[in-house]
Amino acid sequence: MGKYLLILKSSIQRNLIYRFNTFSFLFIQIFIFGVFFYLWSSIYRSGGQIGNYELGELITYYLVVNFLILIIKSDVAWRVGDEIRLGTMTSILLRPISYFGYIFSRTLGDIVFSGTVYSASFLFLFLFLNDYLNISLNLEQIFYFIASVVLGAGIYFLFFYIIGLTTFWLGFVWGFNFAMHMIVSFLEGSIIPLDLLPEFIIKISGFLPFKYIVFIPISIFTNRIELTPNLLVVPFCWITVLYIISLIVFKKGIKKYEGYGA
Amino acid sequence: MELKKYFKIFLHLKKIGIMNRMAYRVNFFIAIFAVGIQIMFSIVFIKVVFGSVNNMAGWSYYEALVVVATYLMIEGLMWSLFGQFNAIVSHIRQGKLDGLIIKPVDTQFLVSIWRGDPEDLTRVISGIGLITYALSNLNLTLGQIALNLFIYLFLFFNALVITYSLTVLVKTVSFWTVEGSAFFHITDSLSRMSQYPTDIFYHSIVRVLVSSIIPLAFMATVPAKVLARGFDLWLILGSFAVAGVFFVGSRKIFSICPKALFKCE
Amino acid sequence: MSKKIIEVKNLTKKYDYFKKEPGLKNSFKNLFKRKKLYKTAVDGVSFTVEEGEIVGFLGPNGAGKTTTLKMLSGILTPDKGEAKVLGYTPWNRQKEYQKQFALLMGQKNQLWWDLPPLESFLLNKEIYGVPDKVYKENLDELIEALKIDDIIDKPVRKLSLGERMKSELVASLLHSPKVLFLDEPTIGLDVVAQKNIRDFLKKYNKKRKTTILLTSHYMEDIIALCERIVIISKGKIIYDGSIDSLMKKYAPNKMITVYFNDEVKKDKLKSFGEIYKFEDYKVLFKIPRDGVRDAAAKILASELPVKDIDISEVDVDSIIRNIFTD
Repeated sequence: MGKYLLILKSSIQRNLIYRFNTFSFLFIQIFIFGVFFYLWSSIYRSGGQIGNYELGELITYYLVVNFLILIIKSDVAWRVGDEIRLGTMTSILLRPISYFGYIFSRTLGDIVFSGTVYSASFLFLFLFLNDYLNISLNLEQIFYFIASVVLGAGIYFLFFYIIGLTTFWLGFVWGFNFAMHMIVSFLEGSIIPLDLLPEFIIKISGFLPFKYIVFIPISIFTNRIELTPNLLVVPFCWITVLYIISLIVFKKGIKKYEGYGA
Repeated sequence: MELKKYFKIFLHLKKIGIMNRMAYRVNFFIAIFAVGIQIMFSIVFIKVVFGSVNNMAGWSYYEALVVVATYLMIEGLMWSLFGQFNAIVSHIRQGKLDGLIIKPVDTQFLVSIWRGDPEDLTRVISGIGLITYALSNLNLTLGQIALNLFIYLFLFFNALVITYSLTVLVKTVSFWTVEGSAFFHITDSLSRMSQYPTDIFYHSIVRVLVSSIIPLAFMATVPAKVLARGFDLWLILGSFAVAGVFFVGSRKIFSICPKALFKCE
Repeated sequence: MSKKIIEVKNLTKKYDYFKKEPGLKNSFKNLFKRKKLYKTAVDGVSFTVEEGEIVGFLGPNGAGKTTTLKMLSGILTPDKGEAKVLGYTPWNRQKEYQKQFALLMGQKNQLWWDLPPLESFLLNKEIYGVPDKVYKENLDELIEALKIDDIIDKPVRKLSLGERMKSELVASLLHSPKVLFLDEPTIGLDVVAQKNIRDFLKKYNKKRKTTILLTSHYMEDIIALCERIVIISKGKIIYDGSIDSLMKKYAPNKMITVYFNDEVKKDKLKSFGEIYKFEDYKVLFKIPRDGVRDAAAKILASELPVKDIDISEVDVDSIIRNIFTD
């Protein structure tokens, strides 16, 4: 157990060194949020309305989206893909450590770091924009929100871990990874709230786990959805399924792995 | 004489770029697919917004599409011609920049065109298609379209220069801190936000900001505005001014960079 | 009077780096306060090279060889001192100068990985503005000399290290450079490939009078190619001269190896010279250079059951090592 804690610690250390990266991401997400803030505000100012969203709900939506993106998103697929492609995975496989545990600890370190750093900035933003937002949170909501964020993060991690593992067969992950990121961003509600999309996309999204990454947590936060245990049980089932898939894929992939490169 | 040589080198490198891509065919097609999806999302977003309203900060649906189309074409060229100036990243990381510095060709030029993703020409083509579609739905006479298009070409070129220069600036400066991959995302995100008409910024301070220091306005909105609505002297002058300043600035920064950068190993 | 191609006076280059300490706590500390340290890579280096010379730079890692080459290629600007190559100051990076030299770094790959070397050659042709006729002549000559005509249309990633290195060499010589800077050109290559490249460079230098500066870890490179050797350690030149003089200065002795038919007692041999090594049927004497002939004659004229006698130099590697440990 201690070794995974160490990996987590060194992941945090790495993040501290790349502090320019950290601030760049923060700047970028705030910038993007700023653009959407003005986009929606200018529409509502001239009397328009998007779907059945009030301006406050919409702005809150994008604020939380950008916050979640900062915390949850990591380059798992890239990392795994590179380690397979360049053969650096070998050094980890030779040690008494589970590869999954290694990647998980590293990513957790990233999340702990991001969570700490970015929460402070976003808290500030929330207070600053209080007039525009109308957030009302009760304890139950907060509990559900945090739980669904954690589950969503799990789904994101496992899914892109599997994508990274496809490098065993594809040899190269960037095109596929890029495409998947696009699709997932769309189906999770990062680009537009899911309930504003055409019917058939909402239907497709219903069969997939992605809405639990962003859309469901935010809907809980903005109180647009009824709080039922299902909201947590379903993503938990998805996590189990994805985990099992990842184990199978890894087992099959390792057999193909030549340890080339390096 | 020199121009001919540079043009030949440019063509040669683009040919090499295509050959490199062909070496990994599967990736090429996946990449086109990924780009295609991204293009779709841009359009779907505008469609959804205009599904609820018919006015975005004074822009109509088809006018908004002109902005998106301009953005697509600029992004497409930035990727296919310049590889988003990412050669500087990989070259410095692998220490290959030395090999380019010693060549008797302008280093910034060489680094700019060294890489290129041919599959992003899809963006350019889609942009052209989209703009044709949008223009045909705006109430402009053929004469107006011709005149506006003429001016548009210049402003489009300026927009490309501005986007290019901004990319060079950000990525070059990032190396003074010698760190990871954040700068890739900075310019990528800045560009992406240029696809929304900058008229949405109703606070004048912000308007000034996006017309000067981070000139989003001139990267897509301004050319689109002139194409869709006609001649505007201030916008045109502004476009040339900003392009000039940013290009000169980027060259200055890039030439300082080598001295600060290339420490001993 | 041979032309001075390279003139280096008092070249100095420092670089700075930050001290990095391990541990999470130190990473936090480093956010606010970092200690800047300096290292002098090249310290007041001066030398001259004449046209057509092949000069070898030898020294341990980090001694300053590569940094010196980089300054002469114009990649780095020195903190102090001056240098002129072909009359140009390298770090001004004038195009006229750049067209006349080539830099080959053994560990860095300049060729396009997924394409045949020929594509990279053509690109270099454009970049250096080599006329078609000259290009064809050079290409044919180089391909023949290095024997790579069967591999130039195979993707670089499919070539062996030796074939890759030869292709890199061709790429850098297509524009007929007057000066060639080579940094570890034979590193990682097998013995045959190393010899091929050495032979080629020697012939090329003879024919074209190209001035060559070469750094290497391998003594064989230096001995085979260079008449002159410059030894750099900790940024300073500690020897600049011919290999022969080096031997005379740091290797005043020669080795005489005597092989016997029968066992010989050690004390019987003491009168002939200093015994370096004694084994069954074999003894190695360390004899000062001018006494070698007499000593050998004495041994052969004696009653010892000599089967064979061998006179050789103390090996160069240990000489160099001795210089460094001083």
